[in-house]
Amino acid sequence: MPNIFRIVFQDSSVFLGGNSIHNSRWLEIPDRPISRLEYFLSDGEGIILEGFESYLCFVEAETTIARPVGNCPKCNSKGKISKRITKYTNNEIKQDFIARCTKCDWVGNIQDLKYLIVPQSDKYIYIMGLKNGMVTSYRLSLLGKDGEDKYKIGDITKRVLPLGQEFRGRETNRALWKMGVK
Amino acid sequence: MVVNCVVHVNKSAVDNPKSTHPANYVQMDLANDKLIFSAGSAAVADGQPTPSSAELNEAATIIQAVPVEIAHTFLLDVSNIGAELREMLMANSGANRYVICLAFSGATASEPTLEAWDDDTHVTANLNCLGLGTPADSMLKAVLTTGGAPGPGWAGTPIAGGAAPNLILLNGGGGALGGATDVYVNIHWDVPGAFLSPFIESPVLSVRFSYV
Repeated sequence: MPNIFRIVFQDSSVFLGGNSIHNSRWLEIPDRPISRLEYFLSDGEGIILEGFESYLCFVEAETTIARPVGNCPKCNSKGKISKRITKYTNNEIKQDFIARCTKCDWVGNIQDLKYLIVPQSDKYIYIMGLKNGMVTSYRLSLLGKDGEDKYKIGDITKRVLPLGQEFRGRETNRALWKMGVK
Repeated sequence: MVVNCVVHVNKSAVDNPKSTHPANYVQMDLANDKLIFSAGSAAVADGQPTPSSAELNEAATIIQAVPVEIAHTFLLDVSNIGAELREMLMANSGANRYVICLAFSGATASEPTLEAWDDDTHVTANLNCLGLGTPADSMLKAVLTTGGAPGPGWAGTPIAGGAAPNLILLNGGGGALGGATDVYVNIHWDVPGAFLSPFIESPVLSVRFSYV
């Protein structure tokens, strides 16, 4: 697996990130001024940030406490599927799962559901640089959507926001930013 | 380093943290378990098997002339075969602190939030129960209780969508979590008096967080 990012320090030395977003090695970056951050995308291209006062990369994730388990394969309804224990046999307790769509009455196996959802999902990668009190943020979408969401896997959204409002109107963890060249 | 958020619910009537009373908590299987909010009945009660849709309908909260709190919260625990319904006795507007535990495995890159949405796309919050597009009208109330118990009859924050103030900042506005920690919240539902439409809805509750 390739490294997900490369740091070039002011002294021209280099630090390579880990090989997955779950093992980025961001916390292992030496405390030296960074002149350039290169973040590599899966297609071989990348995002390069250079000349910023500090840098941050992180992953946004969601854990959903109560969620439907998937989309109906017949009507594609979202949020209407239920998963139920339907029978028990003899003295041996047995679970028999089915999926039922309360919108179109489709009934089938749970394996037939489309887009089966995992409990915790990584949604976006953020690559940020700070300069003159403003944060330049590149957001890379990790999940594909089939419905209303306008973002697809790999879409990149650039925003420039005041420091303190860089993540959904709120601040990021200052301790995780790595210093650039002043 | 990836950070995980694991959800535990207190199935007891003892208001103590998971760290000292782990046996009182059930870890939610987020792919299979559900939360059910109901007025309760013989079939929709603690220790009962998975209720049918008809049984859930019969145990629905009745809209009244005055606001009414949904009386019971259940965890549908599919691993507790034959007795899947476990009542969360303290998930209500009582002065209960240790009800839902969100266990983070490490430091976060921003302050985590608790949000409510129509479905898992996290795009809209237009359900009846979430305020029909007006987040302040959401019937779902939540309160952060990590630092202390809420007052009796707590009003909480109506949560719907992903914008302040209709979400819960899970560090009380203090920013990112500095390390692995347990965060506690409580929730309840208030159905407004004389609400016009009866409904059966399945919103999702989500914890949004980030890590490096």
